Amino acid sequence: MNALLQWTTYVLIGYFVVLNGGYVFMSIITFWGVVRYRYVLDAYNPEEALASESLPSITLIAPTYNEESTCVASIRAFLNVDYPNFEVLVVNDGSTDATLERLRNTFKLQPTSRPPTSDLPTESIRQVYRSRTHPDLWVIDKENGGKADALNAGVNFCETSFFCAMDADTIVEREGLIRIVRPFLENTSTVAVGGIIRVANGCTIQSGRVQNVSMPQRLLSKLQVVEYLRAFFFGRLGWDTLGAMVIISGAFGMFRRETVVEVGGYETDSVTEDLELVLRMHRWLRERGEEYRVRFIPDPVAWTEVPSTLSGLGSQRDRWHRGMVDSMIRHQRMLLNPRYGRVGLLAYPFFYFLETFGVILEFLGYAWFVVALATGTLSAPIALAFFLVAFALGMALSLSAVAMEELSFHRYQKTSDLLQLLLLSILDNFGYRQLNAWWRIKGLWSYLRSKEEWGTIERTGFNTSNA
Amino acid sequence: MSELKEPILLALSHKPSANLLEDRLCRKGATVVRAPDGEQALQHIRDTSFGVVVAETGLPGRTGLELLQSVPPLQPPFVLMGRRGNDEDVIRAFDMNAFDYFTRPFAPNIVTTRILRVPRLLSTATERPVPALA
Amino acid sequence: MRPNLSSPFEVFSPASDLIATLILGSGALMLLSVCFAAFALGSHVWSRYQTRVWKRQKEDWDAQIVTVLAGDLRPQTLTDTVPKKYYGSFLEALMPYATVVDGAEKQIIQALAAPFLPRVKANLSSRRSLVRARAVQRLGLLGGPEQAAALRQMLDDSSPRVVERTVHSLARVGGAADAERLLDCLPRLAHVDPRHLSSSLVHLGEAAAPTMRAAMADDERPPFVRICCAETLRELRDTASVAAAAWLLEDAKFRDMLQFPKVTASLLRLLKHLGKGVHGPLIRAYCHAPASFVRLHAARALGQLGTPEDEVLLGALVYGDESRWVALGAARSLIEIGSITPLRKLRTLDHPRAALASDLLLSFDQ
Repeated sequence: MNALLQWTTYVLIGYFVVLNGGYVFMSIITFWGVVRYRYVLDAYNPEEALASESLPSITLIAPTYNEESTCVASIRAFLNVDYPNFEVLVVNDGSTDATLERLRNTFKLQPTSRPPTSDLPTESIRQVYRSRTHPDLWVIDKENGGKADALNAGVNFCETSFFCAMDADTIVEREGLIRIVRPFLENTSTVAVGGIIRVANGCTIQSGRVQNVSMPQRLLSKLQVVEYLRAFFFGRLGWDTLGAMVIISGAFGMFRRETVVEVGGYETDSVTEDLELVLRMHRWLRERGEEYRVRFIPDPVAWTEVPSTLSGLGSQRDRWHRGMVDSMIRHQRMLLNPRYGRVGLLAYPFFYFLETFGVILEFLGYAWFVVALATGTLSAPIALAFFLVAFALGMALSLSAVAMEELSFHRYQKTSDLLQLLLLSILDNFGYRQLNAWWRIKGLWSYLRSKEEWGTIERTGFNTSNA
Repeated sequence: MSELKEPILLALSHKPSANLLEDRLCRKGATVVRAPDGEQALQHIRDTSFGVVVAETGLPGRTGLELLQSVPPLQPPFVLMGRRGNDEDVIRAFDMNAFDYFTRPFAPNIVTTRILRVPRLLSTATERPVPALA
Repeated sequence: MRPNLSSPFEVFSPASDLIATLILGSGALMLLSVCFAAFALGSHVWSRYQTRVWKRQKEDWDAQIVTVLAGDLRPQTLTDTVPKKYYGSFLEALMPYATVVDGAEKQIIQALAAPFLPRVKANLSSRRSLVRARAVQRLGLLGGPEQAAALRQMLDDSSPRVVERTVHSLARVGGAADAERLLDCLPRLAHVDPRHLSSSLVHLGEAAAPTMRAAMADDERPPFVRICCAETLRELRDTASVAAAAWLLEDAKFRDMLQFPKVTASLLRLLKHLGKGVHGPLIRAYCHAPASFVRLHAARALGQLGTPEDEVLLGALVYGDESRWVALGAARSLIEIGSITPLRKLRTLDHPRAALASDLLLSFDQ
């Protein structure tokens, strides 16, 4: 029994050291990346870029399902993006509510046809519509097939070199499109670019724009603000700096259409089709030895409403983790495989061992502490000291993310909001992180039991959600 | 120069453009009303009779083209401001009975003249008797 | 023989040492946390102070800039009031207007910026490429022809990012005489989208067209450079380049052109926009090129320049080309030349492309 506990200890401590060592390493890289990016942004003027004589046409693909209360406001927001030539393809994924009706009435949709440009398999298309008031707005009505299926349908009708995959309720900032297209212009080998997602809860949204940035009211939403800052600064910017970006959020990402079609489009079997697609693109392009880039840049911003209830958030995280496990296993061949360069040797192991399966160890760690304390094999002072280090580390990492946000974009102008962020960085280790670990374990368990339903999140309507 | 009895609406969200045009138009004696987004612009159009409406194609809330379509042709006449690089947009605007269209960057003097000539041209046109049809 | 341990931790060190290490570790981390929090707060306070102080100043400058642009205030009167150390902020206040106005007003903006540009120029010799890039960008946006000399020197910079920015800036600030040198730099920028470069090169103006035409026709030049030239000439709407393009496409070196499919495609695009009906026969040959995008551009060009005689050729592409994009392009071209019969016929057949014909015809009929 002692030997078992001994080994368990080594493994858990080893995991802890590697995980947090990894985070520390990433935060140093990220810090350097943030400082450097400030200079990059200083030399860039979106107005100047927009005054260019010719910019590539872009298609915005927005799958929508049962969004009758918010679809009109969301689509309006898409139409107001500041870019000279773009199309909006709304894919109505067989909504059972009044979504299509609302769109039809507001935008004066007229049934028409449009030849598809690719053959990604999807559920059947019922009808293609075009707006009479906004000729750049098209609605594709199809049988329900899920988000990935809807995205594929959009890609099938996309005629431009690049498309932007969005969630229907994402609000892209006015400059979002011109900013996210920049890496494609500066380097023709770019195949995918992700932007930053920020939490819209609590912000004042008017005329399809975020007018006032503010922290949300509900504690759960507030905690997610800190979490998103951590995720995007370490998870994305850090990996971009290392040249091994593997996640582009489905809420806001731009892709080269040709490459997406070549790799076969989005995987309809996956609940995190965004992650799965990017992994597959890495794999495909590396296997063919093609030069390519996947980037994350923090200046194009999209705002999205996050779940504000425990059940909503729990089911979202359960689903995300289920999808992550699935994607990680699907492309396991990249793990520690030098053929896949930095993605295989750095990013994949990090996500595979630490983010995905490491949650087992994390959970075991909590369980072990309880057991060890209870059976007396671990003295209380040591346990406390250990917890102290663990929390101090988590706190330091969260606070460094907040510091980086202040250094770079400082979107939260109110001092009270910043103080909240600082306080939450301390608190999020006492419960929120553990809750997340629990949801992730559930996600892993769901994967193993292969549940296939979608979770639901309550819609509180779009303008000024004070959740 | 007060041929302009009716005010001019500037439905522009881009502040430097709006500042510039407002300044030039006021110097020429026009009354200018500003609306930074589509919803406010729509409200103004409903409440007041304007001589010309200058609207940005990418106006938040309601696009310039949408505003254009919400009124009968030339009541009030629209001058649209758009971006370079989208010829289709210009054609569409004219198809929808926009009076004029200019792109950014622009020469403020020329654009101001283009805006101010609109009411003058329209009043001249309506003075001519319309030939009877059949 | 394994020692009998009463606690797993004893394998590392005596318990009290361990506790001490852990406490020290967490102490260090707490200190670090406090530093981050302090930094965040300090950064926040600083940027709020900056915003408050600068908001009014910028509004003030805004109003004055508009007045200067209207001609009611001399540029020098305004620039004299700007303290030298605030030149960066003043230039930032000018930038929105620099992208809004054209012509004479643009020159006023340049006059407003001029007293501060020497400081920007000093950054051109910074060791950091991003600082140099920023200086180049500022000079391109706010500078007049007198800045061209400084920018020319940056064309040899070690960083491709700086060279790219310099191409954009010099194309605006310089003149047709710079065309040759700019084209010489382009091979270093082969990773950049050619149309991104050409949208700046267009600012060199019609006077640069002869140099561009020569480079486009020169097969010693790298394909990338020739493509940039073709695209720039197209955007310049330089009709004289049509002859050069036609000659290239027609010349007995037909096979050679096919070695450079992307150049061929750009030439076809040029013809499509600026060519005349007489170029139709020339384009037809390229409808059978091996590269699908060449066939696509040839088919699209026929939509503009073709005649009803091209119905058979385009029809064959719609029916039989392996690339759907080519078929789509050919079908659109058929509609443009007014020959819808092949499409109407196709619509009724049991053929993989029947749906394509039907979709296009539906929106055409509407």
